[in-house]
Amino acid sequence: MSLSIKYVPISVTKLETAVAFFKEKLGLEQTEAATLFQSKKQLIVKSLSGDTSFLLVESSQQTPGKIVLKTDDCIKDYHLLRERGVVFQSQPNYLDEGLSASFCDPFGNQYILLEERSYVED
Amino acid sequence: MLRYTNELSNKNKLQLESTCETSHEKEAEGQIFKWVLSGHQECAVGNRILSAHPDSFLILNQGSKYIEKIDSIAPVNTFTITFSQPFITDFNHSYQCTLNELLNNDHNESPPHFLEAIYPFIGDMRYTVMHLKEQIDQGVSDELLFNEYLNHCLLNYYKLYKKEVLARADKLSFAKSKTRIEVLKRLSVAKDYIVSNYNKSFSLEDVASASCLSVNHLLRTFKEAYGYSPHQYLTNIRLSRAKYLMRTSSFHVNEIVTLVGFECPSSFIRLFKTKFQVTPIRYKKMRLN
Repeated sequence: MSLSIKYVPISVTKLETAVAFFKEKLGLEQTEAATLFQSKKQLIVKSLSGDTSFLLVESSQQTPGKIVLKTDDCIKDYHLLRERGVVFQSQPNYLDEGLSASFCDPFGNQYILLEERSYVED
Repeated sequence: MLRYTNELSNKNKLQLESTCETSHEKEAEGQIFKWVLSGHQECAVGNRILSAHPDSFLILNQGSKYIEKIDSIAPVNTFTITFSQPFITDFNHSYQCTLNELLNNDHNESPPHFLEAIYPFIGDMRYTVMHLKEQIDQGVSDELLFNEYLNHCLLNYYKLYKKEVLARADKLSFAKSKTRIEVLKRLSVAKDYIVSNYNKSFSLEDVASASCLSVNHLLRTFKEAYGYSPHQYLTNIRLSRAKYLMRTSSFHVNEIVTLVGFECPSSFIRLFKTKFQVTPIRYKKMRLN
């Protein structure tokens, strides 16, 4: 058996606002129709490479989730996203895992940017 | 000589150079952080010779007069950041809370000083500087982004200062904290002497004399601060630089033995295997693959 994550479902209260956030702020370029969930309004947004795919699902009863996003340079992406108008909850913060910074989408879902760092000397 | 220089509007300066030969007398216009990304460079500061290698970086204080020397067959790549004093003052002001956390939540403590010394180029500092260099290499010229990296560079330095200066001073068995800091400063000179002369032959008396400590005093306090005797410290530097050469150069193991200052290949092999749990030849093969 070989299991891997296909889509990360994100619960939102307004699909159009969510698509605009993912495209304009996070820079995901492509959208695809989806019927996976029992919702009238759902859409897949993904990067051109297809490496990152979110399944946006509109729902009136939304519970905010937490998503950890991998970055190869947290400072660069923190700066880029802030320039696009993303409001961060804190400045990049040093953890045992590496450097991290978090922000929320318009629906309260929290995204944690994580640049994993190895502190083991080669 | 290849050169990139970018003076930002806040007077911070970024410089990348690639050169085989240089010998210039300079005066530090701001707080200088200097990295040698390949090869090595010597910096004569007063009566000290500080040698920068890819595993370390130098800090030179504003106003210091120094002579940079490079004499190499292969180009030596250096990266220098000159922080302007107003930028550092602003940083200290805005990051006071963070600094207080770094400095054990002591709200009365002033920000760390810049101790003119050689520091290990490891951990977050390495990530920050290499990311910044990557942006420069890609032709990015966004000043706000550069300043983000520079902020983190200072934050990383302050963390390193706590680890390399304050924490080591605390290990010294002197009652007064001023005495501990003063002795640590001298030990830092001793450590830099060893690091800068690692591939040469020198005596304990030379190290003691360079750091204005007696041999007995040096032996006792060096081990307290750094956890190793000066000789063990020297051996560790030689071994780690040998390891670096094995993964980055085409030198034969026997050549590396001589380059890092070992006289006897068999003792080098034994010490290398004890420290890294792998023989030098096997390590070199593993890295090549």
